[in-house]
Amino acid sequence: MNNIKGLKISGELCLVRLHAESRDSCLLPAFCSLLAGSQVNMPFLSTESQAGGIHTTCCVDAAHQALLKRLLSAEPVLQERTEYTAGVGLLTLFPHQSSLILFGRSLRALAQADLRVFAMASSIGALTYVLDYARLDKAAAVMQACFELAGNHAPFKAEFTVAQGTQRRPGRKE
Amino acid sequence: METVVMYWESQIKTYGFQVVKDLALYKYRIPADLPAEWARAIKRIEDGPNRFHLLCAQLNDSSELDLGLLCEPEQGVSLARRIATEIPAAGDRLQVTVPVELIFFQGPHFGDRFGIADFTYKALKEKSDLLLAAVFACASIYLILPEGAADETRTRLAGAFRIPG
Repeated sequence: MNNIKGLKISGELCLVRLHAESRDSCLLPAFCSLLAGSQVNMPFLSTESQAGGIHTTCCVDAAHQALLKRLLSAEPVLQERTEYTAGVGLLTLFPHQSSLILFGRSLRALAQADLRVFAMASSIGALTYVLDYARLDKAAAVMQACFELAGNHAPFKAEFTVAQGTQRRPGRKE
Repeated sequence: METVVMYWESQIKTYGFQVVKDLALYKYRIPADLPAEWARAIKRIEDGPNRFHLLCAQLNDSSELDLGLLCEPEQGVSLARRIATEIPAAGDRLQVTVPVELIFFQGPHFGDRFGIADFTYKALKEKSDLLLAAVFACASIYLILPEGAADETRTRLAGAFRIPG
């Protein structure tokens, strides 16, 4: 059994898929700009380009789903290329140490437990899966059975939210 | 109890850009329910050389996982060979792009803050059309580019982000 140092579980998110047929499309930058303009964070975004176009999966806070739909209703070009899946969440395992062992074992364990993977990506030290929110605790239990958590570490959920302004200091008009 | 933290900076800060060249991007289309032969094939990649620079996957319209693996070319060849021992026809589900280049960077609370992806795309301007793949996860950003594109892309990003001296 391999060791990992921790598991993190996100709050409830909404998955957004954006598809564009053309690679030279500005749709994804326009989508990101739209969200930034309304201070909507994307804790996860994975996109790939290929001959068939651009395929993007991202997540926003579940509380922002209605706002996002409202924003996109004013942008028909984006709206018609966007699909939503409500009720997803992130399961993050760390560290991966740039080794495929953590990925291979975790993916096989999730499949064996019949837990659907909507998306997955690595970052500098962690591996993040997008899964059904209602089954995140089950997924965490599967990982705990698959890996030994260092120092009796238990899966944890973020207890604070970071809200950020990049253009001006909060409370100051510039 | 909810704690709300306000994070403010006049120019978005990063800890610096890392560039890696001469990499290979392997893309496999995998049945999402991971049938037995694919479970065995995935187990195979845990054996032997198995270092990676980036992993990403998305569920597609056919309920298959489009898996991207960015690695050193020789590791990719070895990995594809190991998968092929379990699934001889796996090559039909494989697309390899080589060489490719990678830029990755991170910054404080990137994953918790709105506007980071937008800021990155605005910095890239029309060069964002070149992106083969991109991942924004946790506090990290990974950009995969075709050969020869990384240096100019890094210059653009460095002109937009602040790197504390």
